This record gives sequence, structure tokens and C-alpha cells, in this order.
Amino acid sequence: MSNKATDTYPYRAPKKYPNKDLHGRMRILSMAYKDFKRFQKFYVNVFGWDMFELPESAGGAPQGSETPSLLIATGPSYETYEGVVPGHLNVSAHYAEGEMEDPVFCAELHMDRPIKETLEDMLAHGAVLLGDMPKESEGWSTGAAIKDPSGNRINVWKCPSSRTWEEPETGYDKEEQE
Amino acid sequence: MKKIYTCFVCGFPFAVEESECPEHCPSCNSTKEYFLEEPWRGDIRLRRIHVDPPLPDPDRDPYDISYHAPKDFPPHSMHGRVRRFVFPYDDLEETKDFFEKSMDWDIIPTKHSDAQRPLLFCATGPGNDNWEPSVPSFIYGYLKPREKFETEKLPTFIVEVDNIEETLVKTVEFGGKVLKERFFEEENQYAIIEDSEGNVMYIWQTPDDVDWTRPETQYLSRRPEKK
Repeated sequence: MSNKATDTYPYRAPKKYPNKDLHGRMRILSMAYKDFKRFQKFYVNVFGWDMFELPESAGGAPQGSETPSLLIATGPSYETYEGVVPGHLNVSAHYAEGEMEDPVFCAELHMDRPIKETLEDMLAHGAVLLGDMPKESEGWSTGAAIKDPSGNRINVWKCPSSRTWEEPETGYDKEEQE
Repeated sequence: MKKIYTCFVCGFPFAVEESECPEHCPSCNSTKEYFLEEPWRGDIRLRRIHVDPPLPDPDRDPYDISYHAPKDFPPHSMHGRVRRFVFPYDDLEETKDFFEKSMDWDIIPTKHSDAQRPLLFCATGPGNDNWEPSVPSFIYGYLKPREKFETEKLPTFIVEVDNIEETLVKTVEFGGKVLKERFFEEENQYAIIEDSEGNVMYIWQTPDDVDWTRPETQYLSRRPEKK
């Protein structure tokens, strides 16, 4: 795959991603809180974040909970709370039941490959699987947690086949397929 | 029988067996009575029901967490956007190999990096010539030698702000802490803060020479019209 020369460091553009695939993209940041009102006050006022209660059917806490799960726009986003301009990502937040949890990023995995195969490839390159190998499902919940070779936890997720590919976030380097 | 359901409130389409249709919309939590249904014809792209998306309400209470269209973010400001991840690394080659080979990243040392223990910049998906993503809703980030982190508690992400000093004042006013005042790295200005819950992050001041015509600096808060 060729990389066009550019005038500034590193004198080339990033490599092309010609496949209809979001594998490897860091897609959401998951954060925890201990006090919802305090958390909300901080992020609304310091950063201007816009948040709504994540539905229970999408993994959120029961509706109306005093410790809601949240989906948060940190920048321009559209009605599903996916970003609509490039360069930033949105956040999910949840109540930390026990001790406070560190922020964790979620990366997307191949959609057209069994999750077991993708995870086995990651394990072969030094990752550690946290918990059991996940079972494949058609819903929104096919995912796992891994640690990279330096011990960083990354949640990984396989999108169900109901993605329409009309969503702004599903773009890829189409011209390279010509 | 499999069907496509489209939520009248938020416009979200999804396809499931009729017997497994959720009681609430997985996107906005509206009840099932708001679902419009149509037959499954083998591909969700063949659906014929499309719903106009809701629009932002400029008078909305920012503390109201019921479903709403995301607000309009202000023009000429990147304030508050989560822009980069920062992961510590121990073994350079092992970590780089993992992300390049199993996550398909494109990784380069930053311009002024230490050759032995470089700060690495990582493209995780499609990007433009300036090494910013060309597609929404994902980010690029850094792999940083663990020993080069500035604070004991490691910041793992970067939020861009209009002005560091003003953000530090607000951080304290709303229950957070300043862990490291303004400093420079690779020609950029940063500080490190802790939020009201103990989450630690870098804040990065928008560079003075930012090009407000670049895709990542735009502020459109709704899907572009189909052409």
C-alpha cells in the first residue's frame, strides 16, 4: 500500500485502510464515577459534555436509577451519540460498585470473522484474555476484555450485522479498492 | 420471523427476530410502541423506513439525562473533546508488535522522540495527511514509555481545551485537582488534572496555529444530508 509523501513530519500520510472493517479503531472511552451528581456537575461545567441515560437494553442501569449509566457526547455527535466529525470520541460512564475503576478504552473487532479467531490472533501476539472466551451472539454484547503486552486493559467489541454502513463512523479508504 | 424495527423517536434501525424484539429501543430507551416495523429482506440496507432524526434543543437543561439529540457544540472550539489515548508501555518491541500485527495500527515515533524509548503516535484507522482521523467516532493516540509519565497516577487520555489556565480554575471549582500545571511536550501545551471522581487525564490546549478548515475542527452536530 503506497503512502503519499507530505511536506511535514513524518513526511507521509497514515497507511490506508481499504477494507470494509473497523477493526482496531478505538471507539469509546468507559469511565466510572462514585457520585453521579458530582460527576455530572464536573463534566457539564468544565468540559461542556452532553449526556443521556444509556438504555438498559443497551447495557445500562435500570431506567430512573440514582446511579445511571450514561452515554456522553464530548464533541459534535448525531442522534445515536456517535461522533459526526472526525478526531474525537465519546464516552460511556457508569457507577463503580466497589472501588473506583480506571478509565478503559473499547476497540472494535472484525465483524466478518468469528470473535474467537480474532482474539486468538491477539493472544498469539502477546495479549492476555481476561475471563472466558466469549460466545458469538447476534446482539450488541459480543465482546471481551484483554490486556496488551504492557498490561493495559482494553475492552474489545464485535458489532452485530445490523450495521447499515450508512453511519458516518463506518467510513474507510474506499478509493484504494479501485 | 426476522424484522427490521426503526425507532420513531431517535431513528435507530435494528433487525431481530420478532420474538426477541426488545421492550425498549437500544439507542434511546423509548418503548416498543414507537417502533416502526418492516419485513427483513436479507440486508438491513434494503430497509425502506427512514425517520428524520431529532434536532438539538438549545434551551434544554444540561442536567436532564432523558434521551435528546446531542447539543450543538460551539464553532471554532475543540473544548472538551476526547482527542487521544495514552497507554504506557514497558517492552517497546513487544507492545508495538501487538498493536501493529493484531490491531492493524500504523505506528511512528514522534518528531522529537528519544530513539531508545520513543513516544509513539498511533493511527488506529483511516486518516488524513496531518495524521488526524478522516472518519468520525474513533481516535488516534500515544504509546508512551512508562517511566516518562509525569505523575504517579497515570493519565490515559487527552481532552482538548480552549485555555489551560481557565480549565484549571474550573477543575478546582467543580471538585477536581490540578496534578501538574502547564508544561510543554513536543511543541504542545498540556496540564494534568484529576476529576471529581479520581479519573486522571491530560488537558491539551488547542494550538494557536490550528487550521479551522480541517475536518477534525468542524462542529456540525447532525448527520450530513444525503447527496
